Amino acid sequence: MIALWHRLADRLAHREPATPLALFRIALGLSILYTLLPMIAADVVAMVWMDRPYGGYRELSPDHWLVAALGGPTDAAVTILVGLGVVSALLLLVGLGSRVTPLVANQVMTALFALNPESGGGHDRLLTAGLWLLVLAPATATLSLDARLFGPDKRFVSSQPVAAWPRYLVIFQLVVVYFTTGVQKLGQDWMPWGGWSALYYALLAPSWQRYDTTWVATIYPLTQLATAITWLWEVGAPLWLLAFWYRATRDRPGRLRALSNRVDLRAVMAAIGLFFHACLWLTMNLGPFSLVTGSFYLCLWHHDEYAAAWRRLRDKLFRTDSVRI
Amino acid sequence: MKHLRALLVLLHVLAVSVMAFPAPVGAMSKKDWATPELQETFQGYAGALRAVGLPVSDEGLQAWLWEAGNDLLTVRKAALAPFRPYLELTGSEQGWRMFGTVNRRPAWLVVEVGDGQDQWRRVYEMRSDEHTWLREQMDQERVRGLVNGYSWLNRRKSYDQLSVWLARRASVDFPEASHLRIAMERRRLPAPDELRTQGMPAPTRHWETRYSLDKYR
Repeated sequence: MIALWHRLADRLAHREPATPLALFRIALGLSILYTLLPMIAADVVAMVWMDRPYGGYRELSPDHWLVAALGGPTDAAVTILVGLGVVSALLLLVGLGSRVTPLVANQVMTALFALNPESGGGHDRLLTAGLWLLVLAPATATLSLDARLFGPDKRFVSSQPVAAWPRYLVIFQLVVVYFTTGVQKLGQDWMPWGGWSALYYALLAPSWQRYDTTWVATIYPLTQLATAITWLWEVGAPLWLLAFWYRATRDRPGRLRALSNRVDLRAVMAAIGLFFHACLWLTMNLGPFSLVTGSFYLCLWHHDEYAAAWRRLRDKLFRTDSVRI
Repeated sequence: MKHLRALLVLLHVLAVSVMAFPAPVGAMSKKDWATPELQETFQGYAGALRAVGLPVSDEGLQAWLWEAGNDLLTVRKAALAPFRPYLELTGSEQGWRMFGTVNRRPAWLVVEVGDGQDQWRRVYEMRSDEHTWLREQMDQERVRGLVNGYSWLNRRKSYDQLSVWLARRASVDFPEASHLRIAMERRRLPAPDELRTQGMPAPTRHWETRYSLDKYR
């Protein structure tokens, strides 16, 4: 047990370049903008987040300290919070403000989502949970103005190593979300005896439809297959952890380990997830759900893999340019 | 230092895991358990267990689940207590219950304005391309989330509050109208064959409420 603890402590002391965390930071900044800007454009900020005297549809009684400090859900307080949300999102995008920026974003978005919980979704808390992980992570160590202005290399892109454990926590959070969502899909429509009909009925229900979807009746067997895969894939999310374990211990023997590393189980799982998120985005209006969740995928890959992919892309573009010349 | 770091990371992992541990949070009410959707679900599970040779009755399974669910919530509450302040402060207190059950009898929000002579004109219907008053607002995902609760015929108080808000807007947007009528039209979602051959079934009306618009002018 003591040996295991020492191995865990050593693993968590590991350092690596911050590229995945920086991409995660940028994606969460975009997610905040995708949350707030459509609300402003559709003119629903007052309707949903302000108290009745200020244009809201109901009396609100949020218990977040920041809302209380600003005097309650008034027009001025909510305008300040939304403004701070937009500014902090832009700072996350350009990477300015180190850990203070995600801390402000985390508290502002938590306050906004606390205003009227009945108008929220599960992705709200995934966004704020992700922002908290950015508070723990030095995510402006690269791809940021912080790195350009204050970093040791004074360059926008830097390979300075930072703590790797925040990236592990992002991956763990992703696995927890999918696994617990999967095991709580207990409605019989998700089960074989319910005909695996959940996605068929979910697409027909009016709440989240992007457009008329009565055509799903013509592809019912496909929706059944998608339902079964979705459920199995979500419940199987811990396979990601297994895939990472196999990658970290690739020198050890074992056919399953070798197979997992050969096919890159981690990437296969990610590809299935991203495919279903794309399908969801095309057929249902779930706001920033897919973008927020997809942000967490960015931490599935190590800096070296991003660097290699970038080199390949650059070489390919360069070769194309040479041919044109 | 590395041991302290490992301990703190482990505490975070524990907090998130306890919070996310599957539990019937917000689902332990006799009223909810009596809905046709849940009753069908219980019957489906009991049938599946009988199919593999377990002698389980529908009622017996429900009674056991009721007891186990309440016990689980008690244990969860106690286990979560030390982590709550941390999870609340950091915005991480979500338990990930998304699309657990699918609504097979959803209701569509409809709004109509009238002249006081029982002549009504539909101005808004959820997801309609024909009745599109306030569509931009009503289609926004925050408002969708709100109305989704009504679609299950839940949150009646909130529904009434939104209705008053809509009546206020209608009093400005429809100066010729004297009344507003709002309702939830519920439909049983048909099976694929039925949908292909007969289309959507006729709805039943629920929660119909009328407002005199003069009150808001």
